[in-house]
Amino acid sequence: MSEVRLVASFADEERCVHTIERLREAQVRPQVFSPIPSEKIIDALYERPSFVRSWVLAGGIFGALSGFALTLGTSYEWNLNAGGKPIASIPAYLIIVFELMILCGGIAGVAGFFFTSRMPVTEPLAGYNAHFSADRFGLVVSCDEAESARLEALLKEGGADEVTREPV
Amino acid sequence: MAAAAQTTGVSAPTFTDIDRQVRRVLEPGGLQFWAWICFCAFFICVAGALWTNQVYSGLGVTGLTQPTMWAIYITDFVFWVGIAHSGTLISAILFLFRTRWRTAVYRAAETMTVFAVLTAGLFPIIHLGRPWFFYWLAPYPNQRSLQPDFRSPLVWDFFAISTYLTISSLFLFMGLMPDVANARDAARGWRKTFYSLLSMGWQGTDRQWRNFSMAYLLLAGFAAPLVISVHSVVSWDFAMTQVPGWHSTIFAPYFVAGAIFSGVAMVLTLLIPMRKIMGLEELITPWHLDNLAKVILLTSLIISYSYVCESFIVWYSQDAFELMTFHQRYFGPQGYLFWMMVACNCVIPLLLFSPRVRISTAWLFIIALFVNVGMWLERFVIIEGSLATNTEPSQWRFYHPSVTEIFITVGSFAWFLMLFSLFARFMPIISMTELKEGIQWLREALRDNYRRAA
Amino acid sequence: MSEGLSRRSFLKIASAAGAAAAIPGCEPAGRQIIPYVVPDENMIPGVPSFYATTCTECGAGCGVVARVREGRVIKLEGNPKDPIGQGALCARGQASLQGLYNPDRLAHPFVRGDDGRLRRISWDVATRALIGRLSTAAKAGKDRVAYLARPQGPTLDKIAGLWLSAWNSSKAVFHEPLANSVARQAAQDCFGRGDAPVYHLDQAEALISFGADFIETWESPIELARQYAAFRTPKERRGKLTIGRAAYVGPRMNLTAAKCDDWVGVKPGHEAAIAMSVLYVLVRQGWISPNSGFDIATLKSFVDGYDPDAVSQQTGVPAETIVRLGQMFGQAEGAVALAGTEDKETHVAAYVLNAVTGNLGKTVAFLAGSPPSPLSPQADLDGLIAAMNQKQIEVLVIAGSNPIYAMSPAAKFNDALRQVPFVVWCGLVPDETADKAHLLLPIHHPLEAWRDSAPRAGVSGLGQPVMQPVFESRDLGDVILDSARAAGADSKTVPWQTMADAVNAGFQQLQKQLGDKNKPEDFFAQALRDGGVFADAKAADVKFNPAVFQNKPKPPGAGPDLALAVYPHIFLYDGRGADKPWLQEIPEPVDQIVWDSWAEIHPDTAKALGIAANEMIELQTDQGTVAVSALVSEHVRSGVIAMPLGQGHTSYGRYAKGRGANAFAVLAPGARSAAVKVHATGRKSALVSPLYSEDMMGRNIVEAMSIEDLARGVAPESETVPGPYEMYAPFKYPTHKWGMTIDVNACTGCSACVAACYAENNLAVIGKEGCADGRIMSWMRIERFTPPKEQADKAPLMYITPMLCQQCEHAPCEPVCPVFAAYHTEEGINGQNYNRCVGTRYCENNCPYKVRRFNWYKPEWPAPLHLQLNPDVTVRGAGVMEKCTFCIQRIVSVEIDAKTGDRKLRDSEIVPACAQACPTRAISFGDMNDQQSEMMRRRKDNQLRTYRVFNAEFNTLPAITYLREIYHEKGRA
Repeated sequence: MSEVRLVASFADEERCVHTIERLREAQVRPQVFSPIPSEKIIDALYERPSFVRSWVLAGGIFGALSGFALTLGTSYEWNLNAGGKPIASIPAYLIIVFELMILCGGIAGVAGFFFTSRMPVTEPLAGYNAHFSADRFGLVVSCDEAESARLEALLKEGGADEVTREPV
Repeated sequence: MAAAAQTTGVSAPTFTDIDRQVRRVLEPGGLQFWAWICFCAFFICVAGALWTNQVYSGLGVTGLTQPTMWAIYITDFVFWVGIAHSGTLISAILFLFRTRWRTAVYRAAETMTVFAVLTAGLFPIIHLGRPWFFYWLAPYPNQRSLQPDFRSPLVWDFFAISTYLTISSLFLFMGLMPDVANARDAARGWRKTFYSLLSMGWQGTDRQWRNFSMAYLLLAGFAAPLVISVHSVVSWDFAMTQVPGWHSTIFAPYFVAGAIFSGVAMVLTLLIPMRKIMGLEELITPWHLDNLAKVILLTSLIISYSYVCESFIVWYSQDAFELMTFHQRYFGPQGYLFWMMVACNCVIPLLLFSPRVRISTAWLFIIALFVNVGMWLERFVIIEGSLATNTEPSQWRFYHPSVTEIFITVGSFAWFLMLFSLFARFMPIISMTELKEGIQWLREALRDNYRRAA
Repeated sequence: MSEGLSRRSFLKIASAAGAAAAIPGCEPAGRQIIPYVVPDENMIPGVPSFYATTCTECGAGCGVVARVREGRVIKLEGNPKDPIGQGALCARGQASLQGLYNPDRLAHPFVRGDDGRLRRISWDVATRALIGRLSTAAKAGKDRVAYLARPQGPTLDKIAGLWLSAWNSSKAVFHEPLANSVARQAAQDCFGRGDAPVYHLDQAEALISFGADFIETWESPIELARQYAAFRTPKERRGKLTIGRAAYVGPRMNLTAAKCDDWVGVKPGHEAAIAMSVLYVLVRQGWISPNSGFDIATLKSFVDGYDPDAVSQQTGVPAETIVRLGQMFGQAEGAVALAGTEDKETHVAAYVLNAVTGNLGKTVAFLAGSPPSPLSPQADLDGLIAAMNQKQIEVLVIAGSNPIYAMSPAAKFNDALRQVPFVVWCGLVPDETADKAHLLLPIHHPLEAWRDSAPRAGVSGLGQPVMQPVFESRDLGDVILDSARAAGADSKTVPWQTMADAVNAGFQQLQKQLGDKNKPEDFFAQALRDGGVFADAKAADVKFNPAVFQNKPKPPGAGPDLALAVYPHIFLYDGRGADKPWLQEIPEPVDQIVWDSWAEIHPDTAKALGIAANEMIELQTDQGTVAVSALVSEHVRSGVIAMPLGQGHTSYGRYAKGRGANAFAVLAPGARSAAVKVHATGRKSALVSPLYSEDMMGRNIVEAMSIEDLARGVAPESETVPGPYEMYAPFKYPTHKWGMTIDVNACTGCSACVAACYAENNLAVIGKEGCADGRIMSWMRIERFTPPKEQADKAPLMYITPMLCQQCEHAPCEPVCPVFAAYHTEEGINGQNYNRCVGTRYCENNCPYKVRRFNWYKPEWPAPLHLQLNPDVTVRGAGVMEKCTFCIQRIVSVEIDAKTGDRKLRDSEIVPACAQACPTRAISFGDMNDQQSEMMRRRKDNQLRTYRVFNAEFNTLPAITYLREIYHEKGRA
């Protein structure tokens, strides 16, 4: 039995989402391309929120800790008296702590995004076409010959403008 | 098209319309464009030459004097940092508030932010007595275990500004990715390679969007407090000292408000010509400008209040030093600067109460220019004036700028404009993705806009 | 070295360290140079040697100690053993270093060709030319050779005389443009003796100065300032805490006037009338000391017509003021009147005042055996000029004096000089006279030469060369002696080979007089170590000559409605200081002007004449006209225009040339004032001053309290806030915490400290333009404020204080520095790390005292000025912030010395340059941890007077505590 790939493109977000739900009911996990961030699509596909959150949290905590370490560490390593201020001038150091927290958190967030979404990628994914970055929502379903007819129909009635079938 | 078919009304732009308009900008620039770039480059070279001379022969070439150790350079620094603020405000804070009108303008604002910070970052180095040692402000391992003094507001500055630059660049870069991918798919030749590299292989898969949205949301969440903190830190360069006229607790909020004020004004100064030149009137509509104008009006009122408040506290404290410094600020030999500032920042923006003014690009442009001038003056008056009329009456001395300082300031504007123009020419200066996401708002805006015009 | 190294000294150099060793054995004469502190002559690099010598900048003749490092003198300080200076040295004395290292000094002998250009020649050619001319002149007849010079010590002056006679002449004229010779004439009339008295102001309780500016330039400023400070220190008198009461009578409020209780502004020439009127009050009130042996009747007739009302009508001075002066003078136990005017009457009146109140021998004393005046009578000078005009002088040797610049045009010296076929100029920096000379001979700076001085009875100063000559110059004495021998003078007439021998011989004679039993060489060696021989002189008992009362001064009349009063500049004096950049750059204390001369005009007069500030005005007298820019100020009496001397050079080196105007050009010979017409030109020429506001704006920078309050024990509240409020535990300073106490009451504003700071810390001089840009580099400055009119009764005439880094414990400059360039040392000093500074200048912004200085450009010292730089102090480059460090190099060197000597530091062993130089010892330095240190005791003993600048406002906890100025509440004479 040979596999086929069905590539459906939608102009309308609503219909795309509707179709995705139908596919899920049919125990099929489509690969979705969309030109805009669509919460509906995400909700239709995932239960849990993205893992990036924990990356950011970790980064933030690391940044804050390193902020304390840097300021206090250097101050105590060579405790110079400046204007009679205490060697550990915590209120002043909190600013450094805050900035480093933001910095590390932010960088971790971006890094987390690339990691979790397996980027960067060099080759276009199967079924991708230029419209999916511009004005079309795309659903890609791979299935075996036999099932394809049913799914294609499902996609069609879901409101796809066109469905192409590619051999794998 | 189905999507378009649903919406009713005279003008209903579709995804394709948006793509078409934005992509058109990305096509190779004409002779005028490159002429403009060369024009900017010339002034940058002049500034560079003058700075080289300053480094070679010492800060004597500036107009700085004994008590007035800071003047135009630091004014420029604060000014540009201030400009940088509205970008993050619009892109991050308004994003968190899901403000509708931001979508069309935030990319430009964010770009402005990054380049404004880049410009601002130059000035602390330019103004140093020994610029070749600027890196001593950064902590780095060295034999003598000699590190910066983290108590010094200048070190806070160093951290705040560099953090701000990093975060806002990442933020800009993230937001760009889907649009660059869009451009990539339309482009040919070297541009295709260029955009492909920059898009990092973005394809808008569900997985990418899922993580993207989360990362973007959190970045925005971080950028929001950062933007407040950065200009507070900058204001503390002054508030932390004992200089009469600087030593005031109101400075942080007052500077932040002022920053947003000047920043939004700068956004207008850039957008209004840009939408004309690049034919983006369809996407950046009077509705957007109107909203920006409202922000200017609000912040203008806030800083007017701050001026009053600042003076009131001085009067209330009856501190001889502060009283004299403020008396000099208002009625001293350079008092006219203060009153010019009041006119630009407090009086002229009041015109924005009129809706007609708010949708007239010409008016907005002029007012925005005045605000820019006014905010630059504000920083100058605070920095130079307070130092000139310091605690030691025998040591007072007012400052007069030198050619070097003036042309380096001009050069900084050229540098900023050049970077911005290049970006606007080669990068999607309007976020297509977000515009599409909120396309119905844009449609309303256009309808609304036509109604008003009628 | 002009005559190369002797073998002996060559070996020395080879053996010891480079140039360092060359000092003790430079010239053959050098054999006898003995270091002052380190008795052995091989010196270690990095360790300074000290040589005692004498200062020749003015007639006071203070002793100095030269600090020599690696063969170069780098600083001059007062010689503690010298009874006149007593270890202090004024700004002019400090700056004579820059005369030594002046880049414009004549480097070689020059001869003027027929084309008027100068040609460089060798010394041999020069001497041959000189001797050739001299011999022809001598053959031609008697008195064909003349010598015109500043007095340069008895020996040199004597040698000059002998040399002249060897050349068949006797025309030696010793001239000082501003000599106080009328004082001697007055003394001649009153007491039949031609010397000036010495004063003991500290013995007095009341003082009236009639135009004698003894704090700035009059007679012996350091000594008199020291005495005046003692006079003004609170003392128990008749069970009451008092300070001396002083008044100054003169046209301009100079430093002396500013430190007095009363400044009686009069037109020049009216001082005598006031003095007579004061005498009148004394006589009328019967305040004549019974044992003064004066006949009241004669006195009555003498002062007849000088009743205060009459005088007040002529002079415009309120009668009650005169009466008040009379009361103050007459009722005081011990009073002194000083006269510094050009007219003899004032001096006579002052002597009479001192005499009738029985103060002769107490506050004013003539010393037995005081040396004769080194100056020639005016007649000699006139004679010389006449002879020159009659072409009788063929060779004129001018040494160390600048008649072309410093003589009145009426003297016509310029024309006279043209009649002299061969003019020889011997000096340092070629001046206006050198421009007219035919042969220019570079002579040694006093610090390179042997000399002696006899400023007064009992003081015989000895000057020795402290270093190798900088240029190809020679000792004037040697030049003269050589040419005398060439004239065939035998060993009987001129018994000495060199100037050194001559000086030595002089001291052997002195030894005989003193009956000293030591070996002559020991005596001389000791004199070299001490910088001279100092014996105490007896006061001569003098008889007052009543003949004086026969010719009573005629009433002055109203005088001109607009008078010009010319005064010597505190630093430039009669112009000789103008070639020294320090003296040009240090602001004149009263008017705070740098690098320029000015005409002070009272606001009313300025309004009447329609003159704006900084406007160029032309001052026209019967002698001529000068153009100078106007300074509208209330420090001069209305109807008087006051102008300083010293500027307006057309030559005299890069620092002096073409600045301001020369006031000599409008004065009659010997006069200091004239009737003047003023034309406003309308042109502006801005005077440059580092001072912005004269008004303290009610801030406690300089504080004062009345002696009455002090007696009552009431301190004015200044530190209003209780506190300090400490959020954190204060730092501990276990070893030392250096601090300073500055007595504002003792400070006279003479700026010696500022000059010392320039010399010690390698401060850059930036010139007029730099000063105009507000970039003056001085680490310490003299703050000068005038009290607002409404508070005039509750304030001194002028607030004067030194302002330098306060070394705050909570230094605002430190925490703002991003790189710890400004930080606090373990000894409590507010350190500045030049190498670490990146130049953000944030520290100066945050400094409430504005005492940090930034290097706007790379500082420059045109060679050989750089030889003066102190090797112990970094020379800061461009872009670096610098500031006072309490002379940390001096602290450290003493600490190292103590450590190596394994001993504890002694109190007041460490002395910063400013404290060292201060004539009145207003500055004392010490350890704040040591409650017994002199510095701390001064604070405790004057608890009521202590205050710290800006501490109430900023809680900076300065390490410098000031002691309040003390004044008399007005109207309580």
